[in-house]
Amino acid sequence: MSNLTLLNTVRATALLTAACLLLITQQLSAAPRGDLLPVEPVRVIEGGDKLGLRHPSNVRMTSDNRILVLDGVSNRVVIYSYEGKFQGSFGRGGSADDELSYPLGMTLDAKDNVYIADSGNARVQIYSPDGKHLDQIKLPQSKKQKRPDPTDVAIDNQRQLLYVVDNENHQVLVYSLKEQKFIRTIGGMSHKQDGFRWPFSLYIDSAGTLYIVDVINTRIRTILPEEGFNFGYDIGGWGVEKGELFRPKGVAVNAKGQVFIADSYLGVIQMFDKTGKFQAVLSDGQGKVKRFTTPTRLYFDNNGLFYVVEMFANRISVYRIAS
Amino acid sequence: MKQLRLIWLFPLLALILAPTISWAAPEGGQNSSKECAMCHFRWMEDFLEDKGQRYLLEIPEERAVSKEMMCYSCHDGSISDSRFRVWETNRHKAGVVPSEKVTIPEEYPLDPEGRMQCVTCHSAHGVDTRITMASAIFLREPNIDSSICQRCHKGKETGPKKGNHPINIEFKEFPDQVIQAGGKPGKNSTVICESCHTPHGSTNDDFLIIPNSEASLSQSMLCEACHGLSPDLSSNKALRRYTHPIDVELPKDADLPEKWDNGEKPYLGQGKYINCRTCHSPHNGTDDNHLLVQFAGGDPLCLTCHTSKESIYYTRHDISELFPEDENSAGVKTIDKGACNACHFMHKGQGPKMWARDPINGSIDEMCSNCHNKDGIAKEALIGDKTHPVGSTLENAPESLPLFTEAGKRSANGKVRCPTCHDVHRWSPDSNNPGHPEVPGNGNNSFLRKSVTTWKLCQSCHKAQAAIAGTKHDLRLAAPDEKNIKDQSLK
Repeated sequence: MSNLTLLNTVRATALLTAACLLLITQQLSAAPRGDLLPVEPVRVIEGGDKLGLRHPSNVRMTSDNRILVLDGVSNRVVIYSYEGKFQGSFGRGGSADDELSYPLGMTLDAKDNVYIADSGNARVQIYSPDGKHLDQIKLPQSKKQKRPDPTDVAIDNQRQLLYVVDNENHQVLVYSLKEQKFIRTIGGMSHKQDGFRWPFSLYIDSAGTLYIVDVINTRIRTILPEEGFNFGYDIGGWGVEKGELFRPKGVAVNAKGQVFIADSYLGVIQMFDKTGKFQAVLSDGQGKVKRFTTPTRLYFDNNGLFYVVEMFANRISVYRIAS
Repeated sequence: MKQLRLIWLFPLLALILAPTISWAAPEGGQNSSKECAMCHFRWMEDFLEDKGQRYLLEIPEERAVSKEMMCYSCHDGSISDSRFRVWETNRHKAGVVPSEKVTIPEEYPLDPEGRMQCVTCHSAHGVDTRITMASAIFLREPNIDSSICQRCHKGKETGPKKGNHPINIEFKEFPDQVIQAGGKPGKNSTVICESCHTPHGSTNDDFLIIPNSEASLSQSMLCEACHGLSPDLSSNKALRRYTHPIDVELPKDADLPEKWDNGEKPYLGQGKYINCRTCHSPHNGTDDNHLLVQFAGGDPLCLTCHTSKESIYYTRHDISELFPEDENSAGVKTIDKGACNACHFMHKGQGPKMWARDPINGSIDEMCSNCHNKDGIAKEALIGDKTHPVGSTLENAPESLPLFTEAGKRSANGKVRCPTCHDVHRWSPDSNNPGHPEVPGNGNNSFLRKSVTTWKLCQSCHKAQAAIAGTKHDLRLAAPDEKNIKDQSLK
């Protein structure tokens, strides 16, 4: 066999292999899409007074079944009944001790005291359940760093820890909850395993694992306080396919330990298991991927209902997730 | 699935590149293609083969990158917080086809539907930041003295001769109020577009940095920030200059047109208050006319509100008609600016009536004598030496005749002045008698508020003297043909 014949044979084999693989791939692409998790709409929380909600950024439920919505641009917390009826608000814009400036994050402690990431004022504000200003924690700032930009807070009641994410300095700050004593920082700007790039949201599961949305690194990071605040596993990764993240913003963990991640640009919410393995995409019940409007923060209430903060749509959508 | 679709490439690539490829990318490593595709999502390898719908992403047909939601995906607080400044305020238009009033340069891209998007003005690439990061970053070119605004809004820089507010005027000290509100000075402290407007972050109409319709304050706050509350108000009382009042209700008898000469509907602030914008249009003024909304002299604009003053036309006080070459104190010929401007300025006038005549040293009487003197244009109508006294107070002033302060303002505690008996804008109390400059006046007209002939005017104050009626000193009965020294008879 001449060299020319051999070369032609190799070429033909390669092309045939490629054609076969292409055909298989197209068949797989055309296969019915699975991995959908239907959600059932329960209610929508929006408006209530003249201001309405303006780019809301977070939601929490109190122990007496009130729903608090952090109304970011209006610099206030809006209070709704569990059924979504407007009941009032507290907080006002400004830089005085009891005021807020475009807050982004909110959580509650065991007594329903409200902790707010007061982003524009570089501090955490603390209010009583009825809206009385109690205290503030000014975030530390060094000359080497940018002005702190707290975008979320999370409380580990079991370990009495307060976590604050400093978005602009790409780190998470750890405080003792009671004394509000600064303990340490976690992270720093990095695209590798030792840090974050613009961390935005926090969530703590029942075991105390801290989930951090690492926006530009397009992943959810976990931190295990029992292991010296070391990083645990990551969820997600860059992309627009199942199990991948394009612009992750919100994260929440349900009672089963399943992790839900909101992608604000794609407008989808995906579910992962405890190990970070992709499980499903929320769907509309008609077999289609459910499209949300800028889903930015997620939350499970005490009854297991699922809250999606649709920031640009100025509403909180409440769903029941199929078991 | 992505991996499966690409798998057919592997045999070929492996054959060709096997010796050179290192498959083990650094864990969590920075990926330059990812950095670009954070916005240019179509550059992701997922899109190399097809343009159809992805599992998680509905792909729009057009290939525009920086549409609103892409920008918002970072500017929602997760990277930078522009929620209020960009999305909750009167921001520059996006997502709409530009109007015919603007010209979009070729290098400023529109989306495939011809609509402006964020990317029309902003770009993360190739920006010259020589000026400052604040003025250049993410804009398509350095924004020197609002040059980017002028790229599209052509003609707005042409100045008052073309009906636009002047720009590039230097301030000795740029007003603090403007800077505090976010207005920007140009280099050398000049006025630029962004001194008054901001494309993002305004809560006011027309993207203004300061509201011009805030009822609780002044309704012309932005104008006043530079032009002052009462321009050129001097501490020297004699030299005080006054401007037309603003923040006052439109007069009830005002007769606003549906549209001004410049095509705009009349603008009133809250509560139908008059403000600067009522008479002036900063970018649509009539040419070379102080940015006024009406053509020609001041008369048409003045008479829109001061409708009753129209009665001055065709009288001897219609100076612009009778003495067209006469000049007011600014040297402006009356024929050029009309009857109103012959005696009044809208701004920088003297005294509360904004006089445009000299000499005025406080007393309204001297205002009259400016014309009614032996060298004045009213030299044939001199007041004379023997004349009714002025400057006296009245204990029981009649309600029907006004009293005036020295400066000329009506006041119940004022004094008798020339306009107590004379209405300089009306020839006769009888509105059916407009008079004529060539017809001599008498006691029934001559700008009198009431008839002298019928004693109504005199009796308004001199009530006791009315007892003369019917007596032998009542010359109407005793000597009706007798004449006074001015050769006037009671007939």
